[in-house]
Amino acid sequence: MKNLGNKISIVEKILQTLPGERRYLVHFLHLVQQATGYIPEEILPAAARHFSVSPSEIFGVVTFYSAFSLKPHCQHEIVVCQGTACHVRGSGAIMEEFSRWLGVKPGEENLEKNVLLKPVNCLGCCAIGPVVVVDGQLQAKVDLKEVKRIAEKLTGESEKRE
Amino acid sequence: MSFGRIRLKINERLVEAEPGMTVLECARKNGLYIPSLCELEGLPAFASCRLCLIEIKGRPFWSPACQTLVEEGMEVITSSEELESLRRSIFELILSEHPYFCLLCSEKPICNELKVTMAKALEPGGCIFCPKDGNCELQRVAEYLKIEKVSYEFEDKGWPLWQKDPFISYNPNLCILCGRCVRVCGEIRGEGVLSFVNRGTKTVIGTFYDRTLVKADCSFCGACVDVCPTAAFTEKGLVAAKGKNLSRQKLICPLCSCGCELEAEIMENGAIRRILPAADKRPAFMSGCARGRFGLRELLTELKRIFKPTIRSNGFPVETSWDEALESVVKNLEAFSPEEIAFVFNEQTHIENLLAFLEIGQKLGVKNFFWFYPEIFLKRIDEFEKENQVKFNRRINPDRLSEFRSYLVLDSDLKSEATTFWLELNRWLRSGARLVVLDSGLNKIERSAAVRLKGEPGREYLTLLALLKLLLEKSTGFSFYSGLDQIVEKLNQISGEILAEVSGVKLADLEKAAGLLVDSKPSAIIFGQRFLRQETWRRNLWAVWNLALKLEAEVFPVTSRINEIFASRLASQYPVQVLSDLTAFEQRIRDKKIRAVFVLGDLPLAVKPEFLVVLNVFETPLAAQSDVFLPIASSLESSGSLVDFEGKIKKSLPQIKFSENSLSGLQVFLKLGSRLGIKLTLPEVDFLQTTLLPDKTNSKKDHWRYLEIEDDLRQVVSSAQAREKPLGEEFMIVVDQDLYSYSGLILSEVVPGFKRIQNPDWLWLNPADAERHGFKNGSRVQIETESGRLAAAVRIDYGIKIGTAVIKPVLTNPMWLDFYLKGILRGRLRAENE
Ligand code: SF4
Ligand code: SF4
Ligand code: SF4
Ligand code: FES
Ligand code: FES
Repeated sequence: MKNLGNKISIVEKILQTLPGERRYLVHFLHLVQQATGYIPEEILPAAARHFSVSPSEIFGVVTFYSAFSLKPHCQHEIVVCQGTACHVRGSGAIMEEFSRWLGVKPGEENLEKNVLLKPVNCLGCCAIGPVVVVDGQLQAKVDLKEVKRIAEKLTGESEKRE
Repeated sequence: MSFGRIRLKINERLVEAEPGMTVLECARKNGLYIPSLCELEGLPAFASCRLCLIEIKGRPFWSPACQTLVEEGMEVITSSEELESLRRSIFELILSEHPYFCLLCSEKPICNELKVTMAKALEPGGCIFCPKDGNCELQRVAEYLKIEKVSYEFEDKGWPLWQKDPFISYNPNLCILCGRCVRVCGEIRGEGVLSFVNRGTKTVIGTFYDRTLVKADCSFCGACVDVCPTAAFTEKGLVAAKGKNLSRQKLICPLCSCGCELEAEIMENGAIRRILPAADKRPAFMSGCARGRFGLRELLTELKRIFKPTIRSNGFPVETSWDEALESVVKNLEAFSPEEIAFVFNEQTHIENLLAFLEIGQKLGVKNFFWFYPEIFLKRIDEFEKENQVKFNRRINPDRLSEFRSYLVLDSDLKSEATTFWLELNRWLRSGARLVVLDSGLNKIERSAAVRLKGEPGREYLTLLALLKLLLEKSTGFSFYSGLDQIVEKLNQISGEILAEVSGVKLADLEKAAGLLVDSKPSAIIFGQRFLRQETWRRNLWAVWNLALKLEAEVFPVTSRINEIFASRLASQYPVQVLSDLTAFEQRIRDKKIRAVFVLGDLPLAVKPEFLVVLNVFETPLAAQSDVFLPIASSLESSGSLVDFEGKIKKSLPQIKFSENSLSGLQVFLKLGSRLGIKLTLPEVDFLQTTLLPDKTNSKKDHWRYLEIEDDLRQVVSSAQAREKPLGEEFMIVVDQDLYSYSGLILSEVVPGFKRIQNPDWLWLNPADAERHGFKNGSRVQIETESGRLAAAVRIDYGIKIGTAVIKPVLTNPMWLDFYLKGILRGRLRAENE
């Protein structure tokens, strides 16, 4: 998987800063979640040894707290309304345009591109359609030019982050 | 706090209790049943099932009996209208997640007649399919509460069943989340394979990423099966007992030094249904391991077994009668002079057999008696004691572990080498004692350690010297014993940093260990066979002795093989020598100095003497080469005694017959004796306990002194530094012990399940080393050493130090024996197809 080696070395650095005592385990998991966006399976056996717990025990902790996630998630989420009202105002084309610009398929979590393009049926604000929600920000009356602007901003940003 | 007895009232009845007892324990002791599903003997209360709720006069709330300690004058009510209705609602909730049709069934009284089969696919479907076979603890509770209906519908969660592992299967849909398995696995056994996974209604017992038990590093001790109140964890392949007459036979397991008391369940047709740790003295989960409970049964019903003696004729073994076989032994032995005959034994057999064997030999005038003992463990301790006029403990009593606040364990994976000793030790770790583990190989108790000292293989001596130096700096006080000045002076020649560096252990870890040992007194120093199966064994013992004096610690050398202590004591009454390296012995055979060899057990012999007799349970490769093979009953089939690591003689009296023809070793020797005109005068076994195995502890300590360090430490260090970096791709290979065999038969070769648990050709590596070489789990490699090549399959383990590899060969061939005797060697690894 992309960047796994990188993530492992980040985690190793985190491990080195923490004493090998069980009580630091949850703190460690928070740091890993922050740094990598999830808890990679590959790092857990080494962490288990460091904190003198069993890998199963860590797994129990990770699955208990909803703050930890076992799978990587996309950094960005674009929700494009496909409800009837937005549809008649051309939201289908808008979805296609996003898909073309971002290179991701609707409804698929694409970790390479780090963007999730998500269709929904009506957001309850049909009057201002077509409606798009970008990382939680509602955008009204979106047109194709606007799509390009949003897409460029997101991809530029994620390139910077790499 | 008073240490007297406590008086309290339970249901208006006056009862007495010990301080520290829970109300549940007290009630139980007085024959009073309180429903309980989560409580586990020996662990603090978990109080999750809430069935044991009781009323205590003067307290506003109900309390769980498992978590409430008895108090003077307490008045307890365990049963009332209100309590039972409360319990009933709690139990109904539990049942909403566990199939309960069988508990309400109107045909229950004739259940055993209706029951037809055990589960094939483990689906929850009521009593006739339930593998618990009528022993479900929920039934007991349901009866007590007189449950007639359950207000909730049973919700089948539809979790997939776990059926990919050997010996144990798991059905999460039968689990009531009592937590016993998680606690027994983690806290009592120290394995930590099981864990609560998820939360809320999705909670389930699982492993690391739902890996199979094999992949989650389960030891298959079976403790989870023993404690599970339902059939969620079950032994695989059990035949339904259907309440029919099962008889039980006590037996002693011969597979390691613990000599666990096991119990075999025998069905009416004589077949063994299963073997469990006996539960009369201690809870079942406090003893036993995979070898005893899953290995023995299948080993002994092994198809390859033959029960009639064979004589070689025209190059092939031919079955014959006992009379003819013994006649042939007598005739052939008489053809040689006593000096030309050697008697060799393995210790893994009843001690009655050993004694009869030696006596026959003696009466024949034989001079060469050998104990094949490649561990050389006790022999080296004996030797060291003589050379230095010191004394170590021999009989080690695990009950004494309670006296210590810290343990220093050296090169000994107690979990596998002396399981019950470990379970006892772990019990004191749970109540606050601290553990330091120094191990250069693979040691599964490391996770429970407060400090791990992971040094370079073969440099244990230097690590211990560094530790001693730090201890002397930390506690400069007066030492009771003389000779310390020389030690201090010597250790002053060299800095702690350098000692730590050459030993491969981090100085910070050494400091932590020293601090811990000073703060948590008294300490026990515990070591096993691997600690002395190294070139530096004498120095290792020096260091242990001096450390023990400084810490005023007690030393426990732990043996790993059954009868090991007994066999080592035989030398005091019989002319027995230890045989480890077979080269000289084989040379004597080639030179025709030894012409006839009588082997009791197995021996990886590379040359065949003119006349070879083998007496063993199985037809091992050596037996197949013999001129006469005398098959004997195993310790499951015949009565006899075994000696455990404590030096205690344990008798087993099983009568499980696999064949009409089989004779015990003792019976064979008696027959042989009468043919030779010898009357055997065997000593009373009980008598041996006091003569051969006296319980002596080190009492006179006042004349003890520190042993001088003779080495020039600067030289030791600089020569270690010179050998520092193994050239290029070299590994230090630690050769550990494999206890997964019996009388020369390897468990993984006859019991398919063990192939996935322990194989003699596995090689353990650190993940970083494996990655560097492009090896994965299971990769086939060649180990190349100066002593030869060996094929192996890679196992990745985080517990191995970088640059180290571990192998655990069974000593059935000369090459493996050679590696084993070296203990630690250098070698390279090559992928097999290169
Ligand atoms: S068999 Fe033993 S080690 Fe394996 S899961 Fe059960 S309790 Fe744990
Ligand atoms: S599997 Fe058995 S022992 Fe483990 S929590 Fe479930 S019911 Fe209890
Ligand atoms: S091998 Fe050892 S620990 Fe396992 S059951 Fe036998 S005697 Fe007990
Ligand atoms: S259809 Fe788009 S907001 Fe309702
Ligand atoms: S036994 Fe007391 S709460 Fe379960």
